[in-house]
This record gives sequence, structure tokens and C-alpha cells, in this order.
Amino acid sequence: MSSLRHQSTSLPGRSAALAPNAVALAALGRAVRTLALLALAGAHVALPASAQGKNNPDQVLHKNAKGTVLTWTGTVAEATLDKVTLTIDGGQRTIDGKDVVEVLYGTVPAAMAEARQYRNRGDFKTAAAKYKLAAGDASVSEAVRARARMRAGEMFLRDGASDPSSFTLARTEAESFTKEFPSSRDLPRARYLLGRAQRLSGDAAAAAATYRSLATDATGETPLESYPRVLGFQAALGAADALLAAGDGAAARELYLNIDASLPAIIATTADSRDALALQRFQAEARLGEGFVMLAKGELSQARTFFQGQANSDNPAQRFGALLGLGETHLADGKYREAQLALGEVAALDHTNRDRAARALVGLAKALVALPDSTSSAAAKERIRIVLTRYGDTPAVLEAAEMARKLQVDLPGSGSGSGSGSGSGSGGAARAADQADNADESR
Amino acid sequence: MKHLHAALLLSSLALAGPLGSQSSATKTEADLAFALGLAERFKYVDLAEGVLAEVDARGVSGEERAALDLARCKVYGGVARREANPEVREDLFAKSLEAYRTFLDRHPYADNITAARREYVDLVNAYGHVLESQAEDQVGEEAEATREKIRTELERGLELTGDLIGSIAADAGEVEKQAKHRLMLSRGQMLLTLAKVSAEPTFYFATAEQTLEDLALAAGDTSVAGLQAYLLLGEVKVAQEQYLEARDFMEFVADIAVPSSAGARSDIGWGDLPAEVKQQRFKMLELGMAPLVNACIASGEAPSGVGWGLHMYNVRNADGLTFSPRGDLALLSLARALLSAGGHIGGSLNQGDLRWFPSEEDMAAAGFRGRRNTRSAIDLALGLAQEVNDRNRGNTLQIRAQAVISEITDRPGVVVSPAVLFEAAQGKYYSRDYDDAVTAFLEIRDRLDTQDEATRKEYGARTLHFLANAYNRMGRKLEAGLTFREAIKRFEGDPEYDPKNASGYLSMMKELRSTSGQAPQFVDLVKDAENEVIAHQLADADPGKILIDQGDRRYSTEDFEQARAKYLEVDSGSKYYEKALTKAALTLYKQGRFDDARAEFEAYVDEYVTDAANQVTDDVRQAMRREARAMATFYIGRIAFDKDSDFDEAIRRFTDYHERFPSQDSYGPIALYKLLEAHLAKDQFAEARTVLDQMIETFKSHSLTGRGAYKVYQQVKLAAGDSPSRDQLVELATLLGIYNSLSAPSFANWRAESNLWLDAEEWTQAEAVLRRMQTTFTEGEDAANVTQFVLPDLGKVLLELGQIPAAFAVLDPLVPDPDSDQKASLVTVQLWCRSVTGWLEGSATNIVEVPGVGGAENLAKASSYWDKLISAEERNDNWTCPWYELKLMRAYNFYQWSRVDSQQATYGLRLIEDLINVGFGGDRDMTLIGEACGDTLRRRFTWLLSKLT
Repeated sequence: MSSLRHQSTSLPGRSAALAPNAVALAALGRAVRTLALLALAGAHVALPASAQGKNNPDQVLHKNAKGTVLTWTGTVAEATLDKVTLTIDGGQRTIDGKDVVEVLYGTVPAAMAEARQYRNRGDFKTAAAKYKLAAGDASVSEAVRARARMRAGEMFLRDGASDPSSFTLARTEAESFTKEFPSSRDLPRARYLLGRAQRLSGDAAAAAATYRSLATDATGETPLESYPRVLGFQAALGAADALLAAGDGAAARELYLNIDASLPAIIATTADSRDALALQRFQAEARLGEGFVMLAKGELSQARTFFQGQANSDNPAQRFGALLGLGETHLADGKYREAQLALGEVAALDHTNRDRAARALVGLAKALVALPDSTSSAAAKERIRIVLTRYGDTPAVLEAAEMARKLQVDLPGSGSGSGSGSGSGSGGAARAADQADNADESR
Repeated sequence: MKHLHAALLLSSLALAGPLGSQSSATKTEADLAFALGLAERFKYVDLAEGVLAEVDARGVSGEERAALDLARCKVYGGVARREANPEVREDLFAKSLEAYRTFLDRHPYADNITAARREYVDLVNAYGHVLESQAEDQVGEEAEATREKIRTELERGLELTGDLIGSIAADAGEVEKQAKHRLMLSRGQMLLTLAKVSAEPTFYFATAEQTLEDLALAAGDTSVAGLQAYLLLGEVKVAQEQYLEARDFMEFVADIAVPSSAGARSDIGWGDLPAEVKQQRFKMLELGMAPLVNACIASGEAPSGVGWGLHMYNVRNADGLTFSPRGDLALLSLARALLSAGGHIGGSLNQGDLRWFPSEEDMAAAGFRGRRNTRSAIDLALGLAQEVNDRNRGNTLQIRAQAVISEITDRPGVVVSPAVLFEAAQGKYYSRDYDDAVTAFLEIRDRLDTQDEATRKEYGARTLHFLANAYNRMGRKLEAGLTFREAIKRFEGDPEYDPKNASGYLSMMKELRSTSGQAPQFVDLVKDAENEVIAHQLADADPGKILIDQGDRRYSTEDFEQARAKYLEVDSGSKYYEKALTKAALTLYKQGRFDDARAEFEAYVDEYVTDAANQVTDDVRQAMRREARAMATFYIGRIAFDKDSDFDEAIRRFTDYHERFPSQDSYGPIALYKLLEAHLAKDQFAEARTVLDQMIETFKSHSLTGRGAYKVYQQVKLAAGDSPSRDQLVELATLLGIYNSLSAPSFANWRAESNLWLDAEEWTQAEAVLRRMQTTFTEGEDAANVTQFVLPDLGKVLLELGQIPAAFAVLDPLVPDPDSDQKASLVTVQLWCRSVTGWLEGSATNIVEVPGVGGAENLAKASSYWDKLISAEERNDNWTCPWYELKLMRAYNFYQWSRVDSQQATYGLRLIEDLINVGFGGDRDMTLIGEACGDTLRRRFTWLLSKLT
């Protein structure tokens, strides 16, 4: 018990005998029984408020020289891109921005705590409103307000599956963030959020520009040190995808090639194995870009050949990306059974990219609608339901919503709230953003 | 069903209850008691309401009206506290509080008005707790409405509390003092709750602190009331974010309950304390642990929180204590503290010596090594959260446990072992939460990409197997089939899941082939799946396997010579070679050629395997070698034990067998059992006990574990002799319980176990065994034994546990009318009488009445039986202490009876006065009883005399 603060206990301002007296021992049995009964009732009903706490210390997760993630607790005084300053026991500690993994705010305003409860219930719209309220609360720190603003955008994004106008609101929140908090350490994530909100609100060209700008800052010739490189390459891929969606196949192709060319050197110098894995997956996806450009141009035969060559890769991102391309090529070619099998494989097994899994589900639903199988119609509706309830923040939701209207899919309200992900597509950065979303304000 | 059951119960109790000949007052009292019984014992509020309405309709007045109104309060209030459904609970609380207010308004001069006021305050406090918890999970207007309700209800209660506390004089008796302490505690709790829901909490906090400090001062720092006051003071400080002060209070309580240092524990003689006392102290430790750990986290000292939490966990494990819901809540706080603190945990879970270290290096430096004695803080945190999750299926604690699990697994930088993730995902699957299960299994699949090959092999096939099944359960047949295919094509090599995955693949594809109208793609997939099924269920192409199979066929017909010949034909290049070597040696063993068999087994294990020239690298051969080594090691040990009685060699071969060969579910338990026997044969009892712990942990449901427990039981019994200590009784009962749970039901063994629990006065454990006997042995001779022995014991246990109505329900059918021809044993009769009459307990200066179920008819019957018991005692001797005790009980029975029939007091009084006049020459102080049987009995007589006079 060397870690305990008190080896022997005494009360503040009192001197107390350590050994319980005889009366105490004699009465202990009955009183404890009474308390235990109260506690038993508590199993169903009453649990101490401290277990919920909204006023816990803030935590800063950061890496040491060995790459181990450590936690410091205290009060975050400042959380900028360059550094995070934490007050611990009256003294201040500063952590270099590039070493910070995550900042978890333990002390948050009531609106923010309520927002989380609405989020857990799947009521993303009210959650967004509450976060927005917290973001405008001048009595709380700038760092917490910045976090609340970003969360507001994320919640609007998740609400978009049931109310498409929320995508525009998400965009507004993200834009506000970039103006209000230009030096916040959440800025890169907010910029990524802006790109996604633009994409989901139908402005692919703007999304491409936003993503591209973020990618340049994070991975360009003079990258900003506190911008996560993984997020930067994810943005670069987002930019290429958005360019393709906006109809600029040539620009998209060029960007895919650039990403593919620049990644090997970066991967070789990346020490963190999870980051390295994420970058390898991005590279695989970049390599597939050319196939999707062919597909967009209607060059089905070339696209099929291109994708088939990679559909058995041992790299799951490459394999599932190729299968998605192959499935969509079959779909465009009217080969619905082949499309069904290829897209089904991605929908079932792709553990690397939620955007792609959602897109495969929509493609699978399309194939099912076209097939004469006895269970096709119900099966197609089920896949659309899954996209709308579990993947409401992915680009596939736009097409899924359209199909839901056509197929008259019954939905049990808005998103379930328990689906993983908060708007990022693939790999480690996607997970990191999501994890932060779950962890923040949770203690 | 519930109502039918209740109706039957109603009719049966009605037969035993008041009859038409009773007076109106007696009948009303009996009906009210009956209604309270329905609510208290069965939670049948609607039926109880019906009985009360009937009484009301009959017309009551004066004292009966007051009793009726108070019964209504208790019916609702009692059930409200135990109701799990939030809506029903809320409704019952509201009804009960309203009923109390009505009672207090209508009957300000009732005899029991003070008690009713105190009950009301207690109920308000409990309701405040419930609402506070409710508000924590609410938001917006809903939460504000609840907070408003808290304010309204608690303010009402608070006002009354002040008056009640003030009305108890400083020099009041002990009972009144305790009541005052309880009121002060309730007041402190209510003030704290009000502070938490108020916009201006300062006044409430200050008053709560003042109240609780006064209480601690009045009751004494280390009295129970004092400790409770300090716990609440700690919570008051937490609510004000004064965490360090909060910790001072809570740590004080924890250290008093179960000292955290070994030295301090030794000072209070912890090791010698009876198990029951340890459990009581442990409960106090649990009570304050969650807030204490939370306060440590909040004050930025998570490692201290870990230290305290581990202290509780260690004490539980080392002393075999049980967790209450409060303990589970504390475990979740400990999990959060571990998450914040990070680091590593060294020590054994079972032995209760876990310690936190900031790094793996520190842990190693302290001497903790090996998988069983080390784990990351994160893994332990997850394990604890899962433990709570598993123990609390379907209640609020499970929801909280799952939130902690998510918090841990989602945390950036946290590396969670696939085993832990897999268990969590399986939990979602088994609770039919398939959407989340799919997400969880895909997450594991993702993490496998960064794992080594062995881990991928270990978890790949099974993860995909469950993923596929989840898809299947969701109706996503295509995804299910393709996932089974993925498992078999890309994660082949799991002997358990490969055949299952191949079979699942085939099943799904056949279904899709059918729904697709024989689409050629699915026709091809079905063919492919069929091939996979064949490949994973039939022999592979290795000729060694064919020879092994041929040998096995001969072995199964006990043609060991021919079997050996086939095994020896296997070529040394075959991957089955090593398996063949050991199987060949096994045929020698089967022929009784033990020396030859041992020589071959030893040659394989000690020479062949250790020879560098025979090193194997590929997975399949390594797996085959593990199998072969497991078999050879097992038989070497077995020959040493069974044939040579070479216990040292047996110990050498069998020690840690289950860890060296973890997949050996057949050999493993036998090896450990033999190891246990070998240690016993060498009088190494401590080592044998350790082996038994290993068996319990590794093969907890294997029959040999039961037999091992029985072996150890015999040794403990031998050591304990004729007068075992309380701890020895508990150990004996625990060991026999393990044996009983793993062997066929045996009345004699179960009764031996129940007797041990009874002797150890572990009533809850005894009740569990007796209940099991009651429901298991329902036919033949055993059924008669249940009636003769088990039910009386059960009645006794229930009386000890204070479950008097339940005891009465068990005993009543056993005790015939005093005038009937049927007889019951005197012991049973006496237990039944106690369940009816109740009894007196407490010290000489603090006499406490424990009420029985009463009822005029029961009390009349009991009176007759008390008389018979006295007569029976007189056949031995009279004017003895047991005889006095029985006299006291008979007089007390008259006293109870007089409450429904005032005339009976005369008989009670006469009984005691006869004693005084005949036995003590008119000495109303009954000094002689005090001298002969102790002052407590004397004081009880004089107390009763005063009541009856």
C-alpha cells in the first residue's frame, strides 16, 4: 500500500483513535446491515453523483520519448497547436503540441454534459444545440469552448441522415470554429470536419479545396509540426475523392498519384506502428484511385481489369477498395450477381474504412433491387436502413436517403448513436477522432 | 400466475388466520398484519391494497383507523424501497409519502406518532436518493422537474427532522440516542441532496457539515454513526470539489473498517476475526470506497485511488468475502482509476496481493513475473468492469459497467489484448445486440492486423465465426456466408473453428442458392463450400495420418499390439511422427508394460524433444509436438504415481501441467488431481491447497476438482479434530460445497455441508444449501428426511436471518395442533413458537424486542406449546436456566397475545408472580435468577414484569 497517501489515518483537526472501540464493533453488524440494504436498493436506483462527475480534472494524454502514452491530470490552461499547458498542484507544465495525443476535458459546463446525454440517446440535433450553447458560454475556457464548437459540428453531421439541412449547419459550425479558434489544437480536426460537412451538404468542390488546404498544412513541403500527418493524408485522399465527385477526374488522378508517390518515404520514417499501418492503407487506397477515375469516365473494361488485379491483395485496404471498385463496375455493367458478391464481401468484412463499407452497402442494395431473388426487396431495404442508422455521417448516406425514399424504408427515427465513427473515413485517425468523441466529457 | 398463486396463498393464510369468532379488533389487527405480510414477503401491493380496502369498508374507528392508515404507509413504502422498475417505484414512493402525511395529519396523538414521523423522514431521505440518481440520467426539462420534486419533498422532510432531533433529550436512553443519530444522518443526507440540486447550495452545505460534525462528536469518531457521518462528510466535500478534505474523511473510515497496512490489520487481530465480522467490516469498507477512489481521481492522484481500490479487492480475494452492489460500484471506480493511472499490476488475483507499479520494469524489479502474476493496469481495469458486468445482468450497474468498458477500449493509446476485446464482443453477441457485436468483432479483426502470427491464428477464425453468426442472426445471409468463407480461406488452422466455419459457409451458400433460384455463382460457391467441409472433416493427405487412423481403429478394439505396429510405421518425416511415437508408447502402457512405456515416454520427452536436431518451426508440427509432449508427460507422471509411488517424480512432471499444456482439458484435471494427491502423500498440505486453488481456477466445473476439494476437506477435518474453529468450519463447508456442486446430489453430503454452515453460523450460506435440498430431494426417503431435518434447519436459519415470516411459512406445516395425534419434534416446535412469539434480545441494559408473526390463533397455539416445552424440560429438571428461559418465553407469549386480547396479560403476570412467590420468596428483582443465569435473563424478566403489570 505504499501508494496510499495515508499510512495511518487521522481526521483533519481531530485526533482519532485508530482502533474501533468496543461499542463501535458491537453496533457495526446491525448498522452495516442497514446500510447494505440501502446500497442494495442503490443497485437499482441510487448511485453517488460523484460517479458521474462533471468536475473531474482535465487529462492530457501524451507520448514520452519511448512512444508510451502517459496521462497528466490537472486543469488545462491552454490548448493550442503549439503546446498544451496544464496546471497541476498549483504549478504549470507544458507539453509540446506534437507530443499530445488527446486532451480530455473533465470540467465542462452543464450544457456540454447534457449534450453528451442527448448524444447517447441518439438525439443528435438536441446534442448539437447543447454543444452550441456551451460553445457560446463566455464563462468557460477557450479550449473547452473550442471543443464544444467542434462537437456541435459533429453532432449536426450525424443528424444529417434524418435531416439533410443539418449538414449545412455542421458546415456553419465548422466554419465558425476556424474563425473563432484559429490556434486551437482542435483546429486540424475541425478543418477536416468542415471538408466532410461541405461534401455531405453537396459542395464537393469546396470540400476538395478545404481538404487540400489541410493536407498541404499537414503534409506539404513545410508541414506544420502539430498537424497529425495521418490526418493530413486522410484529408488528401478526401480531396481526391471530392474532386472525383465534383467531376474533375484528371485533378483527382493527379492527386492520387502524388499521394501514392509521397507515402513510402513517410511510412519508412513513421515509428508508431498504428500510424504506419494507417498510412499503408492510405497508400493502397491512393493506388486504387486511378481505377475509380476510369469507372467515373465509364471505362468499364479497363476499370474491371484494374480492380481485378488487386482484389486478392493481402493488404485489406487494397483488397476491399478493389472489391468495391469491381462491384461498382459490375453494377454499372448490369452484372448484378457479380456486383452482389463483390460488394457483399466489402460490406461484411471491410474493417479498415467505414465510408467504403457504407458505400458497399448502398451498392449492394442497388444490386439486390435489380435481382429477381425472392428476398431481394427486403434485403435491399435492410441494407439501406443500416446505412442510415449506423453510417449517417458518411458520404454514402446521400444516396441511401434517396433510395430510402424510393423503396419506402421504415426507419426507427434518427441515428442509433451507438455506431462507431464521427465522420472520418479510414484508419487510425478515424478511430482517434471517434475515441475522443466517446471519451470526452464522459467521466 | 402471480395472482393465482397469491389467491391460493390468501386462502391458505386465511385458514390459518383470524376466524369469525375473533373480536373485531383482533380481526382488524390480523388483517393488517396479513396485508403487510403480502407486501413485505411477496411485493403483492394490489392484493394488500384489497385487504386494506376491505378493512376500511368494514368500518373502523379510533385506534383501528390509525393502525389502518399506518399500514397503508408501510405497504407502499416497504415495496417502494425494493422495487426495481423506476415507474412503479416512483408511484409507490409518492403513494407512501402521501399516506404518511395523511396519517400524521389525522392522528397527531396516536401512540406511535413519533415512530411514524421518523419512518416518514427515513422514507423522504430514501426517495431523495432515488430522485437524485434519476436526475443524473436525465436532461433538460425532465431533469429540472425531478430536481424540483427533490426540493419539494426534501424540504418537507427536513422541517420535520429538525423537530424530531430536538425532541430527543441529551440524556435520553441508548435506543433513543441511536434514533437521534439516525435522524441526524438522514438530515445530513437530505441537506447534501438539496445542496446538489440547488442554485444556491452554500447554506445547505454548511448546515449538512454542521449536522454531521455534531453527529460524529456526539456518537464518537469510531462509532458506527460516527463513521457514517464521516462518509457523508466526505461526500459533502466531494460535492464542493474539496477533494483532499473529502479523502481525509473517507480514508479514515476505510482504515478503521479494514486497515490498509498489514501491521494495523495485525493490531486488530484481523486474521483471527470470525468470517462474519470480517464480512461486516468489509461492507463498511465497500460503502465508502467508490467515493474515495473517485475523490482520488478528482484530486489528480489516481495511483492513490488504485491503491485503495486494490486494498478492497485484495481483502475480498484473500479472505473469500463477497461483494455487495456498493462493492461493484467501487470496482468500476477502481477501473477508472486504473485507466487514469496506467502502469502495471503485479501479484495473484486469488491470493489478494495485487500491487500497482508505474512501469513494467518496476514490477519486474519487485519480483513479479509470468503471465499469472502480471498484467497491465488496463487489462485489469477491463477485467474488473467485465466482472461487474457479468454479476449485474439487467440492472443499472451493468449499464455503468458497459460504459466503463467502452471508455477503456475507446481510449487513445490504450492497447487492449484481443482476449479481452473478444470477451467483450462475445458479451454483446450473447445479449443479442448484433449491431454492436458486428462493430466489436470488426474492431478485433482490425486490431489483428497489428498482431503477431500466433495471435492472428488464435483469434482470427473464431472472431470471424462470431461475426458471421451475428450477420446470420441479423438476416444478412450473404454477409454471413462470405464471412464464414473468409474465415476458412484466410484464417485456416484453428481445429475448433475450421469445421464450424466450413459448415457455416456451406449452410449459408445453400440458402442463397435456393433464394437466388439456383444462380450459377451460388451453385459454384456451394461446391466450394462442400469441398471445404470435406477438407476439414476428413483426413488430410499426410500418409502418417492414415496410419494413425488405422492404429486408432485397432486401439479402439483393444488390439494394442497391432495398433502399436501401425503407429510405428509412421515415417519420421511425417508431421504425425511425434504423435505416433507417444501413441505407440501408450499401447505399452495399456498392455501393462509400464516400465517399457515409461522408457519410451521419457526417451521422447527428455531426449528426442530436447535434441536440437529435432527442432520444429512450423505451426502444425509445433502443435503436434505440444499434443505429444502433453501425453508423454502425463503418462510418465501417472506411472510414477500409480505404479511406482514415486511422488517426487509425479510432482516434478505434474507441477504447472495446466499452464504448460493449457489446451489439455482431459489430461489437465487428472494431472492436477494426481499432483494434489502426491503432495498429500508427502504431507505437503500447503502445496496441495495451492494445487486445489489452481484446479478451482482452471477446471472449476470438473468433477476431479470436486474430488480434490474433498481430499483437502478430509485433511482439514483431520486437523480440526472434534472442535473445529469458526474459520475451519467455514473452510470445511466451502470445500465440501465445491465437492457437492460437482458430484451427484447426495442427501448425506449436502446435509453435512449445511450442518457445517450452521455450526459456523453462516446463515446465508446455510440457507442456500437447505433451499437447494428442499427443491432437489422431493421424492422417497430423502423427501421424508427433508421434512424431518432440512425444514427445521431452514426455519432456524431464517429466524437467525431475521426473516421471521419466511421461517413461519416453512415451520408452520410441520407443527400440528397441540391436541392432534401427530407429533413434531421439540426442537421444531420451539422454533415454530419463536417464529410466532418473537423473542427478546440485546444486552441487559438494552432489551430489544424481535416480533414474531403473531396472530391470535397462532399465539394461542404457541402458548399451549410453550407449556408443553416447559413440561418436557421439567422431565429433565426444573428451576434450571433453560427452564427459566422457557418460562420467560411463555410469559412473553402472553404479553404478545395481550396486544390483541388484553386478558392474556393477566396470565403472563400470574406466571411470573408465581415464580417470584414460589421460587424467590417474593423478591420481585428476582436476584436468584441473576446469580444463577446471568443478569440479562433477570433483567428480561423484570422488564417483562413491568410490561405486564
